Amino acid sequence: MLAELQKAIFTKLSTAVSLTGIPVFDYVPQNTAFPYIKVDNSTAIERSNHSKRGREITTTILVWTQYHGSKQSRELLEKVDKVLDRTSLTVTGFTHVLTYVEFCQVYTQPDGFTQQGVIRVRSIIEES
Amino acid sequence: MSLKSHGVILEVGDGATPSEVFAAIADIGDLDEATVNREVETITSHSSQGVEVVPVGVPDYGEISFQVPHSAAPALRGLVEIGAKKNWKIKTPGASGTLETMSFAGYVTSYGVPYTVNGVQMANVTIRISGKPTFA
Repeated sequence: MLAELQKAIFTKLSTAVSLTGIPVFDYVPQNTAFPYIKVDNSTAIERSNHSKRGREITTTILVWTQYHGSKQSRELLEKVDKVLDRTSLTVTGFTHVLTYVEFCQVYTQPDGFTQQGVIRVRSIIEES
Repeated sequence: MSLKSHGVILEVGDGATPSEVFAAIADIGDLDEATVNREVETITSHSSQGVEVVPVGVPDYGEISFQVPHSAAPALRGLVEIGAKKNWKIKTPGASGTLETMSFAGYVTSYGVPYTVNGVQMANVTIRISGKPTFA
């Protein structure tokens, strides 16, 4: 379930018109230019019924920018938020019930220049 | 030995005679089986020699409550509206196959769907048992 949902989120972000020109990664190659988006960690908790398996999955998406101030990372987070919040996802082999944004935050890295935006989405999926 | 409760099947009969056909209700969530109890009435009097005297009433098998996706069981709401008594079966899982089947007649007495902003449309359903269930 985790892998298929990650693929769906990756595809949604990669094909979003509002994010054109912003690369999306699972693995970030060295020396990648800023800004970029990384589909990061996932956690899953049980949400089955008596006949089907189900999971409630949180996926963390990181937005990396280098910019004087946090404006760029906030704007990019907002775009990711609009793409994923209450969106429909195609999750192969599963029924996607719901995805919504539950958390956003921007962190300034120790160099005082690099910004890490964190956005966490929660999804509910069930076996088809 | 403890057994898992996952895999409970709730079935409803079609009312046909002589061979009633039972169909499973899909994707039910947590199910609370009825608690059988007897009402107790205190009739202690001055001649009860200083102890409580409590005759018991008849057994009451109470009600069953469970959750089910609203999209999977709209007919259950209709059963509340028409007040039809149905035959039901609850099959509990054993180590292999069905451990026990509880058969009973009952009415769907409530059906409600809380529409939470970040939730799933799950209906809360109650069946009031009428009469005595059988256990096989």
